[in-house]
Amino acid sequence: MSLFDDQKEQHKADVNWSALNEIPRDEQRKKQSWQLINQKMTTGNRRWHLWKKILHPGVIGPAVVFCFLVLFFPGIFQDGLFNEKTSEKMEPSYGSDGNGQAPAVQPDNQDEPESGGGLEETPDQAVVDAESLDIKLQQLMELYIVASEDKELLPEFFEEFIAFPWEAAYDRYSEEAAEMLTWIAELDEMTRKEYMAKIVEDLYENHSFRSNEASFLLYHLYTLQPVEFLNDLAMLVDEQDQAALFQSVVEYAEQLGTLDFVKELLIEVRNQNDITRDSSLRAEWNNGMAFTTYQMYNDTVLEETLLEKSGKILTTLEKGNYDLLAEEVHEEKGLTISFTADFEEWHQFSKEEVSNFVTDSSRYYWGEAEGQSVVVSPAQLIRNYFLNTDFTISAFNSQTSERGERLNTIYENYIDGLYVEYFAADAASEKNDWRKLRLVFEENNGAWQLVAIVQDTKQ
Amino acid sequence: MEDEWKRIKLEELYEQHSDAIFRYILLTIGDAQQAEDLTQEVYIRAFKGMEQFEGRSTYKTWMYTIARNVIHDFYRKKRPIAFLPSFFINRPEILQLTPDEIVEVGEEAVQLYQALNRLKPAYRQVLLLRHLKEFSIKETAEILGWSEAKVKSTTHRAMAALRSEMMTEGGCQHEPVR
Repeated sequence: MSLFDDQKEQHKADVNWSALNEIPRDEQRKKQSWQLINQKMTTGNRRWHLWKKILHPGVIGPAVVFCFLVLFFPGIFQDGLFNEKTSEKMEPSYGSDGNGQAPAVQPDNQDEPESGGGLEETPDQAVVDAESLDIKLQQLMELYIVASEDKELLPEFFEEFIAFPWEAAYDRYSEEAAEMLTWIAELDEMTRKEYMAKIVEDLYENHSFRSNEASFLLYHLYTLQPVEFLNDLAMLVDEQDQAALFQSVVEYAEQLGTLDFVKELLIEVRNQNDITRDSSLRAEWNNGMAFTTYQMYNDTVLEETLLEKSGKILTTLEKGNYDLLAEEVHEEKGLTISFTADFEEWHQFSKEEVSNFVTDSSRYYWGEAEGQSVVVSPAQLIRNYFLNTDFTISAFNSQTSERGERLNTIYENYIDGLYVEYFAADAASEKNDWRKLRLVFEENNGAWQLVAIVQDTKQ
Repeated sequence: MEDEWKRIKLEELYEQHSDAIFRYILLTIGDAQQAEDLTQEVYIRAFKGMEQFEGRSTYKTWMYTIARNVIHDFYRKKRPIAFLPSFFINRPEILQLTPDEIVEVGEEAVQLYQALNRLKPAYRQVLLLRHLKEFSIKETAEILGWSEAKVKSTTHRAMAALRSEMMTEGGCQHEPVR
């Protein structure tokens, strides 16, 4: 397991790993720790011996007999009192709708009033019945109002909030849910995040975050706290789940017609945070931008136009017709060519410079390939490195991914851009290598013009 | 008699592994005092659970499994503010070492730790176990409760991410002119 190819660098890294493994430990504290462990072991043992005494048949036997008699012959001790109290308890209806009415949906036995009320119903009763849902929601709202006054009722409220069948009601009660979620967001930080976490955790554990219910909740969580949402999403262990959770938000936004808003929030996140300082957040942000933009233009005329345009540009590149290529280049921004997906090495050329690529023999440093520096002219780079393979698949604004390779950072550089990606599996490679070429476009005076050509390869 | 055997065995395990476990916890959570407290907790749990130890793994692997659970519980209890608390272990604070300790460990090693610290928890965990503690893929899978395939692929990704973090920190940033 080497971090670096360079032996000297690797040796340095090994020394540093060893140093971390030798961080000093305070000997005094170590001794104290052992004494405390010893103490706790003794206390633990004493408790265990006490339990042993309690569990002795001579003690436990009569206790079991007593409990048996209380349970099965309560009359011996209470003379019928127990039964009377139980029936009294069943009288008042907790589940009224505020007017003293019983819930509209009644169980089979119509003569008896419903006991307990909606919030205590069994899960089987959580049916998609409009009236019963209205009642449930009203009860939830009542609980929400009470809980907003009395914090002790918060756990009960959240339990019911999570248990509410939003799946069946998300389109009916979006306003109410948004109100409650907004209230959650305004609680003190500890409480807010604890309960938001419970909501998302519940969705996660049930693997249902592609459902409408989950999308609905996730969308609101994202719009309330986009930075926290992305940050925590970025910390998910499973990258597929990360993507699925955010896709869920974006797909819901599409239903609402608020994809622009999702994108605006993403841009705000970037404006307020240095996303490059955190690789996970950075990946999450770039993925989010790519997917949101994809969803905005998927199946539109623009997607078709750009796929067609990029197909022609690829042919132009293959033919080495740079005059024609220059016509597609952005008038103000020119053309940026990057050897890596994360724009580590790049050069920018004006329209005019692009049209002179055929005769331009100036050589530039582009980066490393197979341990060798690549120092060639732009035309050589395109011919010998970018196009030395057959691209078989093209995709519009495909989502980026962080799989240990370089991150696609097109959206950090071209916030309003769209791109077409060409993919080729390198059949000659034993390591399942692949190569991608991304053509990035931006709108300029109503026309979509080429602003960048970016290569991505398996590292 | 049985208790006495447990006590002797635990003392032996304390002598053998407690320093390494302390460092594993310290590098995960960043605070020496907390790390010491959690190391105690690891051994107390080991004492309580010793009868359940079936010998399917080594004592060492077993101790690290407990340590991993203790760390997980620590974050759950201490910081319920995490947005998705049960999916990940939170990031540690900056490694709190005294100036003398930094001199002893070396500034470059501290930088390595900071790079490690910027990785996502799963990456950090797998690197601490695989690279620092030199556990095998099988042992790491046991400790983390993952499949061996997941350990392999996560290690690969974690190494690439760490390399990238270290190079970003050491190299210069370029931005295309807009």
